[in-house]
Amino acid sequence: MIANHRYLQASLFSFCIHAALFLYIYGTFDSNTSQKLLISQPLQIELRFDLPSPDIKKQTPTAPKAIAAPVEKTSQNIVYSKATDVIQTKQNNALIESSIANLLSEESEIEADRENQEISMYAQKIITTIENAWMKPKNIPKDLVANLRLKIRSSGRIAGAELIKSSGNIRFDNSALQAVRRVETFSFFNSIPKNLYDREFQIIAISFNPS
Amino acid sequence: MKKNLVLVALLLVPVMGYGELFLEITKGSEDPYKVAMIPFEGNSKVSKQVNNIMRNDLIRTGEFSILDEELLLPVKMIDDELVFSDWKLLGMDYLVTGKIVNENNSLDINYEIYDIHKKRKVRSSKVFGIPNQIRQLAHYTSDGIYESITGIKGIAATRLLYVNEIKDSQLISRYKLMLADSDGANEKILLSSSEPIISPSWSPDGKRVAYVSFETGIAKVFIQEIASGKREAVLSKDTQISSPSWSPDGKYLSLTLYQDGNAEIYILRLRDRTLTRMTNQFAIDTESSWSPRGNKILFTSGRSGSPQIYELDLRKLNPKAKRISFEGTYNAKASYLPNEEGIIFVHRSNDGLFHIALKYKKENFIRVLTEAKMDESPSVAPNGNMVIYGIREENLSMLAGFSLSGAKFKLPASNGEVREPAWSNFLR
Amino acid sequence: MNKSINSFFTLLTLIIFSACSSVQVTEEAVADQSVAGVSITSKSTATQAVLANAVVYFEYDRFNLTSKSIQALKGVSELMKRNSKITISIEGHADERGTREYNLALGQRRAESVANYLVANGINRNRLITKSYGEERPLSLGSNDTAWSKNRRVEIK
Repeated sequence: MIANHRYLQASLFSFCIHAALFLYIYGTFDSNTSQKLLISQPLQIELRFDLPSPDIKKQTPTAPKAIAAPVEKTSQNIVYSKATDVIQTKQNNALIESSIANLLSEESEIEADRENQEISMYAQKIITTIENAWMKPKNIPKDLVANLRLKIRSSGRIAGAELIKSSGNIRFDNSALQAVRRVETFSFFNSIPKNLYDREFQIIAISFNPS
Repeated sequence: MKKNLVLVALLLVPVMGYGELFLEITKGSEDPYKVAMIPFEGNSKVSKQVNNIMRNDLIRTGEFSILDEELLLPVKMIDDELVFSDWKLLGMDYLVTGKIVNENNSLDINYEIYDIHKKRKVRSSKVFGIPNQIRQLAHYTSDGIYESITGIKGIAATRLLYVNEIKDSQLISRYKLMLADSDGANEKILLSSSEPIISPSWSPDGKRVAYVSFETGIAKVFIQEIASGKREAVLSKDTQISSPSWSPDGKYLSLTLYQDGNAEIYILRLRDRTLTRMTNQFAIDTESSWSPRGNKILFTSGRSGSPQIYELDLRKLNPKAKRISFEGTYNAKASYLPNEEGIIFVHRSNDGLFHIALKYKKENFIRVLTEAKMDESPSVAPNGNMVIYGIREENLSMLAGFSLSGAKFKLPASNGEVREPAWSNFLR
Repeated sequence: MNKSINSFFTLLTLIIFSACSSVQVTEEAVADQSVAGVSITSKSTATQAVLANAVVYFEYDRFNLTSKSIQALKGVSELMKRNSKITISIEGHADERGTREYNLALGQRRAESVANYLVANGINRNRLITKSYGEERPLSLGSNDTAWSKNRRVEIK
């Protein structure tokens, strides 16, 4: 039974080494559970490569160094791990912040697109209404352009029309002013949301440019 | 977030820079306004005349398509409001109704204009008449309707001058200077002569006319007051004088004198009859006409070898004539459009035929507006929208006209031939 | 459509013209065929015949004398040299094409061409009176080349 005794000792010793290795790998020696992230962090960093945040990219090369250090000295390990912890947190927070910011900006872009679509829709209605009322004079020179500025009330009533750029041809200028007079009121203005009306439709410029 | 919105907004605002919405209108309608006119109520004899005059006035502008009387529907009113739906079904843009009323021994007209698309009355007006001037009343009303719908001043109440020639059985001619309404009706004879009369010209206030008469044996210019018939030769000089044209302020008359045997342009100050010579070269210079602001003169000159249009700036100390017609070998008798944005003149095309043409100042080509063979003496209406001129059809001279919007009309003589029309200014 | 407008206006004119007070109508008789200061001398029938024959014709748009026209004027020149008291009236015309005022000026240029020729031939200028009738006194009433060529002329009286 003397041989078994030695076997047991060898087994115990082997077990201890394996256990130590095992425990090391799974970071029990680290005081902070965030050390666990050491293993998974590279993955996470890679995931975050496609995000438009320059901070993360800068920190990735330095991080492995910080991670390597704690293996040699436990005390240093803790210091280093704390430092990397801070960097990681900052990275994470920055990542979280920028991802939130990006989500928010994505959302507002969608919102702006929707608003622009609405603006375009009402603008097109204005254009169509005026085009239906415009009696274009014949026998006029080519390339005539007349610009008017309109003040429109929220009810759609055209409160004022001003010729800000004459075409140089009196019949053409007159036909533009007459078209606006004929329209008088844009009946659909009631359905324009107030903020949109205030911002975009109170004063508009229209250009009569048949060519 | 705000940044992105601003970016998008800037994309929508290319030029204005104010942050204003900037929209482009590229299409319109070129069709005439479709107007239904209910015959105005009133004394049947008068109303028939008034209604006919108004219809003709508006049709002649070329900008109205008046519904045939047979197709008119009864005007339906509910609670004093017009029922618009029927008129909309007929495709009308406007409805005009009115009444001729007798007040204080003169006739007045009340009329209303309804916009069928907007479904409301857009005009309610009263025109005051002068006793015995029914035609004028009708013309004033036509002008009011025209102006309400198009925004342009109407010319129905303006007048025309022209020369009438009648040959008797021996083919001896009798010449008359005539005055008439813009539709050729209400003719009055201002001068009757056995010798030719040419180039009638209106004074800007519409009270006097100048013309060339051959009664003394040679061409001489006379000024005549329309109301009294008083007339006088413009210069006591013995030389031939022709081609009179009044300055817009009525103080000057530009003339062609043949003192040196060659046609040259002079300006006569009416107050003291002083003459200022404007051209001095070997070729023909004639057919002067003033710009609406009185600072320039157009004239015909043969100095380049063929008749072409030239312009003189009167404000310059030593004005040099500037050639402004370059197409073709015969361009003459030019006059300005009332806004000075172009000229109307006689142009001979390559086939040798004479037409009335228009050239805008900003374009470098001409637009030929008539198609007959010997069109001549164009005169522009004071609203710049119509031109009257002389035409020859089947060897008979008559007047024809067109609107810049494309309508055409003819004014044949009631007797003999007519030519040399001159359109008056606005007379109100 | 034209006919009805025509008759309508005629009717209207008759109605209105008789109803309205008319503007004073001025009638002018033809004055003497003389220009103050210089009077055309009366001439014998023989002289008149010579002058009547001396019609000068012109090309379209032009006022220069052709060799044919110079031939026609030779007789006039000799006549005037023989009889130093005669004054003549040289009257220019144009065909109906083109504007009336330009044609008046063209007729005058044609008359001047004839006068200049006579002056060049030694005739005193103040024996010559030039005037123009433009297209107002056509000889031939058609609207064709033949008529037009007959109207582009200078007559001497």
